[in-house]
Amino acid sequence: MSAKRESLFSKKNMKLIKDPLNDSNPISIQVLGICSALAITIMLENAFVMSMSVLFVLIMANVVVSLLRNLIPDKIRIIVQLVIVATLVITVDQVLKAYVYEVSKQLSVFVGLIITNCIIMGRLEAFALGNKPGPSFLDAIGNAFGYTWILLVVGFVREVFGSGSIWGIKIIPDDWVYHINPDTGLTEGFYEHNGLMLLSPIALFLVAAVIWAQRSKNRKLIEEN
Amino acid sequence: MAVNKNSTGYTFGFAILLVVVCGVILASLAKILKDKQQANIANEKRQFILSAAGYASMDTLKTYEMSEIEELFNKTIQQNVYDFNGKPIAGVEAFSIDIVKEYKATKDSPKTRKYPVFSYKNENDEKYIIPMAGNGLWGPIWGFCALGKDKNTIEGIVFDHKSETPGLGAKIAEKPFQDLFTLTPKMVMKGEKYMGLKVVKGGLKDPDHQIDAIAGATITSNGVGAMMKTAFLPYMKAWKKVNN
Repeated sequence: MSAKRESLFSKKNMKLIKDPLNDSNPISIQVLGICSALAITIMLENAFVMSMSVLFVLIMANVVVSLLRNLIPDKIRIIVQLVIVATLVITVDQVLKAYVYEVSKQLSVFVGLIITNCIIMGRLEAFALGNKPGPSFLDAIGNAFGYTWILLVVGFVREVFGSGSIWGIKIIPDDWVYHINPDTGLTEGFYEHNGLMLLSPIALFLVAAVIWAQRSKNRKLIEEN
Repeated sequence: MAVNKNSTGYTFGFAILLVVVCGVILASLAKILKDKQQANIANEKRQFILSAAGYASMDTLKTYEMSEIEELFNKTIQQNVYDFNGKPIAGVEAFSIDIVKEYKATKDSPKTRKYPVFSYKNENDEKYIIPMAGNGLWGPIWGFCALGKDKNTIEGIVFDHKSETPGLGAKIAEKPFQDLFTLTPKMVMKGEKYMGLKVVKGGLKDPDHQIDAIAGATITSNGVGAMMKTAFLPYMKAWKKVNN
């Protein structure tokens, strides 16, 4: 035991945070957790609450599983991970219902579906089971923020062009948008919100755009054939 | 340490302990947050009723404080409860009836069901808000429908659901679908005949009594229709008696 205790913020450990933000991003590179990225990014606020929920669940699950890693029987490890994740997800769901009821209604089933978010099970299985709590904590933060920034970018674009607002605050005045003036019966305005932005499929295009941008910046990421 | 991590006994012990710990955590959490969650649900119910009554849009009501909503509700809304034959039931508060539970409990015996009604009156208008509940595809759906002064024309409606599919059945809780009920006048009665309202596919043949269904959400749409068909009858009976 002569080796010096490795600092939590050593270069190797900081890589755990930095990599998932970019070169091994769970959404754009590993293409995990896409389902929720499509579903809840209509508004920035929803995307943010979802991201924070995932952040909480991922950090807690990663640390707990890492603490228990030497105790968990191999045969039931997936189920143990599921129980831990499910407990955390229900906690989040209950807290949202009590404190941000409106948002929790809009997120509806998707909070519950964090349980099935591949990012979480993926990190538990690939990292937390074989590493100490400290690095697992950092790994969770890195991956959760990798998820978060993509969601926020997609949410931002969808909200601005789909609803003309940012975080619920109108940036495109209602007067600009096509509408019928009730006094004169004439059509006024010159702008129309892009309805496609409100539908889930557009998130696929936006995520694809992120993937494209990322790979043209770093050509190493482009797969062969 | 001589504990065999992969022995059957250890595996069982670990599983049981884990489940007990998780169970205790969740149970205490549910207990702690219950009051707050129920306050949210009651607040939302008041908002639904006020919005169906046309007091203000749901979006406006959501900007109000919880206490303001409660005060407003108590000031402007009167409550009554009827039985299936339209007789008033005394001593029951309409607001406290959980309509989804009430409909579920009396699924096979609508005659024993309690039927609450909320009335909203101001100087030149009055509205009767009727709560209703039914089944969608995945779980219960419910709503509040406001009838105008003639106790026949629909003047406002709100629906909500527990777990309909987002983007399909869940659209019943959105404005475009709910607007269909008030864009053109919809009636509950056809002359003297009780009609309810039908939700139909492929064009309206009787636009006074029909609503266009949501594409891709047949079962939820049918559920709305079925819910509306059963909902109004006892009230019609009650009002007929009062009028005679």
